Amino acid sequence: MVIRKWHPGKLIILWAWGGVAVALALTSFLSSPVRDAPAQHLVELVFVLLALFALSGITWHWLGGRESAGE
Amino acid sequence: MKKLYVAFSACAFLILSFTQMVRAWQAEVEVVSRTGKIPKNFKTYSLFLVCNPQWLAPEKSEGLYELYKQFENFGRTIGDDNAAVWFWKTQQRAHDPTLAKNVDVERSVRFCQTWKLKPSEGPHVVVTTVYPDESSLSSGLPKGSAVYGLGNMSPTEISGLLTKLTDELIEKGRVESPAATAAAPLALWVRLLDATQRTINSFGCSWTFKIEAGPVNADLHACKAE
Repeated sequence: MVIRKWHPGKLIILWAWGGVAVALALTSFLSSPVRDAPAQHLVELVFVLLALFALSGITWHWLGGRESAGE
Repeated sequence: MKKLYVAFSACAFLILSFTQMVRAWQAEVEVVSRTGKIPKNFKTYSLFLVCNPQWLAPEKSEGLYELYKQFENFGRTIGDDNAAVWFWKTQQRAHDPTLAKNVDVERSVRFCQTWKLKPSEGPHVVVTTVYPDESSLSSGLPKGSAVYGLGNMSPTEISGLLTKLTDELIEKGRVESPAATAAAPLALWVRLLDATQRTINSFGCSWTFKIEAGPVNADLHACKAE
């Protein structure tokens, strides 16, 4: 039987750092009016979205895998 | 023949000197006396209008002179194509206690009345690309004119404003009206970004997080209650 296994330690480290970076960018995006600096806000929002996609991709690709139950 | 050369040289020298004098005079503030007319043939006209009675008190003379010096520096840096106009009754003297009396208020008031400028917000700086013809003031404030009330500004803020106006006059050759700038429609992507921000903000306020673990209770709210 093949089941999905995860690496919990690596997951915690990756998402902790990633979460801090995303939270900082999101706080900056939400804390001032968009019309004051539209380009800066756009960069922050794009960074938030890309960072979440990247974290999900890394997690799915490298931090988990299908392994047989006997291994 | 030699005399002719000398006379020709003298004439050329005089003409050259005169044009240089005119250029130097144009480069600074156009001090318009009581009967003098606002000079023509400039691309923009920046008028300094004193209609606020508070600025005419004798104790304000020092501040008024500082303001004049700032405006003079502004006039010197905006180039020969742009005129900075200040109305005096007679030639002003520095640190004169009666300096405020020397400001041609009556003339400024005519502009303030017809252009509907609130005296309490003054003194005003009006930047216009149309010649401010005093004989046809009734046609109103020319379109695209930028009006700035300096009444509630500190000297540093006034200095900052004049620097900003200098930048715009040098770079674009005109000054965007503050009202027009405020009313300018935002690009679609900026409006979308703005909407996204508002949505996330409203979503962020709609949740609460509670922990009830025996002796320890925590209650976390996303936004402060009004």
